[in-house]
Amino acid sequence: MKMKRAFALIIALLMALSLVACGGEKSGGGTPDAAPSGSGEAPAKKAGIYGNSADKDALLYYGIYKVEASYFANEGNSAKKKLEELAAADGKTASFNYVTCGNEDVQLCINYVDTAIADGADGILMCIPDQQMSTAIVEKCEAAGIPIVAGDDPLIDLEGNQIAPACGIDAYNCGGETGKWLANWAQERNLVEDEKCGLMIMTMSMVSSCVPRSTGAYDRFYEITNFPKERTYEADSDGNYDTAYDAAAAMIAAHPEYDKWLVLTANEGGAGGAANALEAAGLDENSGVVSVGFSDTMDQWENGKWLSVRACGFFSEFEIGALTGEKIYAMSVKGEEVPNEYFGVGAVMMEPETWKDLYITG
Amino acid sequence: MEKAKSKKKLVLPITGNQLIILVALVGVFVVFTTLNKNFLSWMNVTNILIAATLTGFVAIGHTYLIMLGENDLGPGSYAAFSGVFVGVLLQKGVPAPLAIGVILAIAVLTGLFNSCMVTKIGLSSFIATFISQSIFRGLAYIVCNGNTIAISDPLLSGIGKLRMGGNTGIPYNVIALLFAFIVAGIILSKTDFGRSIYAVGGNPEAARLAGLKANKIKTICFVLISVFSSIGGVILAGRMNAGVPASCLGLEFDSITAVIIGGVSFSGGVGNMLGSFLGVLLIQSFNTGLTMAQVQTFWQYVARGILLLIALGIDRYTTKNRQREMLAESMRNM
Repeated sequence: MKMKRAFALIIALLMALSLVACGGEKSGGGTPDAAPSGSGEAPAKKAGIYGNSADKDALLYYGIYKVEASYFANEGNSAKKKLEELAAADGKTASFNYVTCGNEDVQLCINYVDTAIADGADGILMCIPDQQMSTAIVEKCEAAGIPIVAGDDPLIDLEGNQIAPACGIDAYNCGGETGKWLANWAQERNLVEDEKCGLMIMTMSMVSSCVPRSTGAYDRFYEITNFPKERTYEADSDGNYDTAYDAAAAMIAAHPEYDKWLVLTANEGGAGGAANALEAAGLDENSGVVSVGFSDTMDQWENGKWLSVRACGFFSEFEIGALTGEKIYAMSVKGEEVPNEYFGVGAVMMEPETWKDLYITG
Repeated sequence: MEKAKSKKKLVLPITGNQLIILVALVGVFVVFTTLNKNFLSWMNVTNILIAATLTGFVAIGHTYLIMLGENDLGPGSYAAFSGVFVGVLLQKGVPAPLAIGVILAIAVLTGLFNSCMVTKIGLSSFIATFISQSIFRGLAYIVCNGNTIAISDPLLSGIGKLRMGGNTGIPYNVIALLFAFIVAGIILSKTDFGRSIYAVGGNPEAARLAGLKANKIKTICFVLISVFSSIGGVILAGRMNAGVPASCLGLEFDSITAVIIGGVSFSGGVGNMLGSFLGVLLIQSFNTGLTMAQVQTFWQYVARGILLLIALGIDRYTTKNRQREMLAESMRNM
């Protein structure tokens, strides 16, 4: 009984402390209660979203990213660095609140947008977990007069039109680069005609932003080669290392007639899963895996692992992060009307022999 | 006459529930082998066993806990944390055996923490382990700063990948799983500790009156599931050459489904290890079969849900039957 009472007391204390802490943080920013709908007043910033923060000395930006991964951590850090630099040049300070939506949790993403609005954020950088929710998010930001810039995956309406500026590489073309690379690699080794070679497309049908990567890879691969469709297979997973391994291993076991595989994966989880499954089956030496994303593969190559991953479509998250920071600052402080266009950074195919010369960091 | 009748009665070495799972398992193999003859290949059977390793280790712990009438929602997080943290320790130059020792020690503490919340504070095990689930998933991200940790240690890779009898042999981690199931099964059916689990899970009040220390038994079981989850996480990290903080999502759901399918009653006091093992195999065979048939992942979720629904239906039906039989038995004795 005493334990129960003590536990209840601790919980109550923690809650009280967190309330005090939240109250303290709000001193410089907007108040959550100032939400437009409940106040009865017209939203203060409805007139426009550009240049609303020009007169502020302390700026606050939110970076909301779809999943906890090194890639997004790097992108967020780079955006933060760029914002701090730009603000310092204007005699201001900028703070950056980096948050992730767990494992692509849509609800959490919306909650963070609400929090950013309530927190009086000067701008939001967003890598959205599901592009279908773009309109809802952009409308929220517009109503609150807060500019938003997308990183990696554009924010689109139901017709597929871009509704906010975006920076990155579009998923379809990035996948396309990997497809092109693998097609050339296969042709150089006469694997297209080789009846003992299968093509495995490791799809992630549950992750909407990765679907175009697979489609792009597939389309480009077939633009270049006439690889027989009857030797092409789809292995679907959620893109995690363990589930991708299971999917790849099952596909390899299902087709023992192949002693080599060409594998296109939409992310590095797929690459890791496929590389380990090929190694377990003893087929890694003559097979080729190509993936989108490079953060984890680089470490594995350093350790002499995953050598069946022949190349990765690398788009520098540092560059993308810095570009998003630049755009949001231009919109919020400089009052620039940045068009709802896609601002791309170059995609580079990294290979074990060349990646050190090509890798760009923050 | 009565004696003669009982002599003729067929006594099977497995329960009716297990027979149903076996039939279902055979059905799964027949259907998927018809769709793809390689489903029955040695390579694929090995794949199914490898994929079942992680769920299997957790299922051993869940069998004990659910039979006690408790549960643990944290194994996926414990496994992810263990995989990542062992990688972090290795990166810092800690020798692999010591790193694994540290992981196991943390697992023991985790089990004690969960048990404390349940037995001392009086929280429901769902809530208590939900707390741990959240804490350990968060810690898994914190210790690696959200980054995947590359692992190249030969001992850990060996734990994850080495096979008995060369490249096409049975992986040692699968052998370890089978061994663990057998030992856990013997403990459950042949020892005082195992019988105590049945007693406490079946009728906690009667067990208390009989002098059984329910809290002590629960503590051991909470520790066991944490340790088994961590072992699974370390094996996975070795197999993937990486500690991934986002891995093992939904692992507890797979394990609980397997255990319930295997005939362990959610109301406690009923079940055994063979059933759980068959449940794990059934789920994994089903998932692998769907992948081989190039079915999208969505359907695997639906299939798992339906399997769980069927298993819970059977559980409810058999529980009711058991209660009816007990009532009839007590009426006869009156």
